[in-house]
Amino acid sequence: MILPRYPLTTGLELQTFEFISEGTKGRIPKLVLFTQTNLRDFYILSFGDKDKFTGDIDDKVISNNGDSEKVLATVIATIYAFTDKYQDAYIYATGSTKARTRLYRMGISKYLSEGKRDFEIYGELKDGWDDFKKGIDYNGFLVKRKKS
Amino acid sequence: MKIKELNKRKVPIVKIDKSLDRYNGLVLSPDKLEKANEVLRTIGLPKQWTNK
Repeated sequence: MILPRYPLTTGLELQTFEFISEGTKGRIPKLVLFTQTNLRDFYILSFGDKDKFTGDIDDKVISNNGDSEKVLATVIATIYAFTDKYQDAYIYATGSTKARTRLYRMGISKYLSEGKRDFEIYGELKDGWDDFKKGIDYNGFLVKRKKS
Repeated sequence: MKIKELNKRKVPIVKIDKSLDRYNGLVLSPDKLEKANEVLRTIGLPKQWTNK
């Protein structure tokens, strides 16, 4: 099932994606970044609002634009696009706050059966990685595209 | 391929804007990077992957 999502723009390297959220508070530009770490193929996913004037990103703001489902579907689409190019990438995601980490968890839970067809999905516990299950309060998440 | 078919793809069709490459490698949140490094140092990658 493909949910409605926003059109995406990306750079040549497919590491930065931009889309416009359209909702009750107007048009809000959003950025999704896949930042490489010093471990080969290990990337951090960051997501936030783009300042219309400076281009800076705020990953702590809560927009409440009334389109969270479409935004989530769009972020998931960026993971598909990114891992289409970087097929061996590990993507680590954690929220900038506990509340946001919880939102990520709820988002993953919602699309878990669909997501597990294409990705290996792990939840971060204090002492290791757990095959992602619903209802567990993970600290972060790690995904890797399955080989087709 | 028609637009409807394109919209059904899991991998989206994306428009290219070279100016977005300026964000590549940007560490948006140093805390998050530090946390990721700490995770890698303490628990590493899932055993299922390291044993492959």
